Amino acid sequence: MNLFCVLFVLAASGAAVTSVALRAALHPLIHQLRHFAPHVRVRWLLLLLAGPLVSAGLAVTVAFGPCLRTFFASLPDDCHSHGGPDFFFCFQMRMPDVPAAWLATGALAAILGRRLFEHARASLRARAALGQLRSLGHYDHELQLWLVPGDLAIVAGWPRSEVYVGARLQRVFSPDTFAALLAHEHAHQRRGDMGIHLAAQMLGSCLPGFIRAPLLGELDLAIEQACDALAAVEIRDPLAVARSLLDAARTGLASGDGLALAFCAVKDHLEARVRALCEPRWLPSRRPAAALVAIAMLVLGACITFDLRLHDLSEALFGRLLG
Amino acid sequence: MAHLRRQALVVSPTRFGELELAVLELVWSMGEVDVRIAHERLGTPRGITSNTVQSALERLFRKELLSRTRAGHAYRYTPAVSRDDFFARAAATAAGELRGARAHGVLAAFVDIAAKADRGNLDRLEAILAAARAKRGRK
Repeated sequence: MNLFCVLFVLAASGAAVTSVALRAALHPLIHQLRHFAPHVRVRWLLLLLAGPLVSAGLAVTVAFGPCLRTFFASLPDDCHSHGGPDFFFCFQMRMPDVPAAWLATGALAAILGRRLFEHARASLRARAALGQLRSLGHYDHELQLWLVPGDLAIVAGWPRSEVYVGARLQRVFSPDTFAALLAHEHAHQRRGDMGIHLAAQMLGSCLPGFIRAPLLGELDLAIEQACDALAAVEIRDPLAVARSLLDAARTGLASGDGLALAFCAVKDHLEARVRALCEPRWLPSRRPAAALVAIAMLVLGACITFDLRLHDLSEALFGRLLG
Repeated sequence: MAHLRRQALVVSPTRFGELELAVLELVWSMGEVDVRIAHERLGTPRGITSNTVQSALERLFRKELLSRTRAGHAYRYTPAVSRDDFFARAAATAAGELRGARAHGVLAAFVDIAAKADRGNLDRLEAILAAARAKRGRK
């Protein structure tokens, strides 16, 4: 078993343990998070998406910490002390290859590659479809958006995102609700939400589906709500934003094929957004920040206290597994 | 199968170039054109040959967006779909393609509702909004 396999097994174990723990706590966690303002939730959800990857890195760092320390400080190797048949993680190790680890690494790389490929393909298709929409419509310099046929309202493109609004919405909506829609879409641009979506997709690519889908869905809701909130501030009327959401939903339903607006998503998002605009009751954002600092301190403390023990334990475990 | 393929050709607007759209606009505005007129109006200003304009007309005919009748040695082309129909169909197809991208976080849609969102649910949300307006009115 060579160094690469050890790294992979450690990282995968760390990520798997965190993923399972996250899955177990996901629903209560999301329920709690929904009490906080959307922009706070966006940060938390990105952190949760990064959680398994951070754990993977942490598992490797903790297990290799003592080795690196002794190596860089030119200290004598103390791996004899914890026993076992050989020096398992140290730089002078002699370990057999384990085909299962290579196979698992290959499978994981294949899954990751496939997800990235699908994302790239979706991006290219979206780019072609947006190009087509641009050729069918025109850029309105006053409104700073592409006015296109139909009834869609989307923001797309990264790093420079653009707003596409269906001319039908402009005709159907009242000036107030149309202004609310525009404020919402421009809020996406100002916040750089397409970059956040991209980062979330990249982080999510490395996660198992059972946590990726709910976390990305929740992040989507938080981002939309953050833009609803900004739009409400800009036009000084949260209820006009709620009105525009319902009008857009009705327009989407009325269009029959529902292509423009009825993109598949979690069913309760529309309700959550309307309710949040009608009765905003966000808790102060200091609490999540304090919790984050506490968690970071706890993890750091645990790493400092247990790194040698974890190192010894993991080496001993590998020693037993490999006979 | 052939029917499906023909339908896909008809509704798929993803391969329309600038020239094809210009040709369509010309046919919609004039009602009927032949290659000579199309080249005069579109080809000459763009510095492109009559053959290129002829190809564009041919492609649009194959996509069933233009009809044609033989007049001597040449064809005369008329619109097979109205301008409104074409734009609605093209926009719907582009939106359909964006639907797949939505799942990959490539774009953000203003409203995300489940495809089966019902009017009853929207009515319930309308009631919530009306209650909030009434509450604000009382303050």
